Amino acid sequence: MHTGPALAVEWVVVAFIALLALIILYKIFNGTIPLTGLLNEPVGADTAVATAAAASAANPPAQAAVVTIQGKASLSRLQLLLFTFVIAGLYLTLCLEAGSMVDIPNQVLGLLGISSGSYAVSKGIQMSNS
Amino acid sequence: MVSPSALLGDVLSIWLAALLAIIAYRCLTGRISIAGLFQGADGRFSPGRVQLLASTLGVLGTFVLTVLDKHSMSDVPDSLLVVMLASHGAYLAGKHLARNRFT
Repeated sequence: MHTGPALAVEWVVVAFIALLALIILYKIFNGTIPLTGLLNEPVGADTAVATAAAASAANPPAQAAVVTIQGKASLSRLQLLLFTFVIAGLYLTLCLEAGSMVDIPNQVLGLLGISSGSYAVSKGIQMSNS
Repeated sequence: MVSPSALLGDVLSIWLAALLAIIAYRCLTGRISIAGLFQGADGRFSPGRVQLLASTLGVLGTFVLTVLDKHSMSDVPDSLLVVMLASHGAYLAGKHLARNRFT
């Protein structure tokens, strides 16, 4: 049984986390936190400068605007995003069902480790050749 | 009366679902670009990327079905790890070789 102060602290913590989550979601929704390049590989600096110059020459108002340069879609980012969402969602579901934090078995940590490791190695390959 | 932990669980579930929905919607409308997803470093079609996406979706599907069926994460088969390792290893090896060829 919770005491009065403990329950009050619990509500404050819950309200803080919920408010933070809602603010982040709202800012993502209205574009204050951009997700435009979420799944794109960064392009090299020389390519970005050349592309921005070409865009400005073709469309003078673009000179005043922030020109967003994107590379092609990154498969390693996409698979990491999918694994993170799926494992986080299932873990949350199981915890809510059990009413407590459940153990994460080694196989699941292995899956997440391979996914994250693959992303890191992929970035390493890109950086070593750029 | 609803408990704080139950309320937080609901809020986080909705938050995660809403974030996924926003990302999926923006991918569909093109605001998050997925152009060139199957192109290699040389700009041509890359079978290695297709196999990685296919194996990722396959492993994720099997994982989700197993967990929802058993209501536990501990019954995930080891073979999924082997498939993941082989698929990601092949993709990374191919990427490394392709980058070295074109640089």
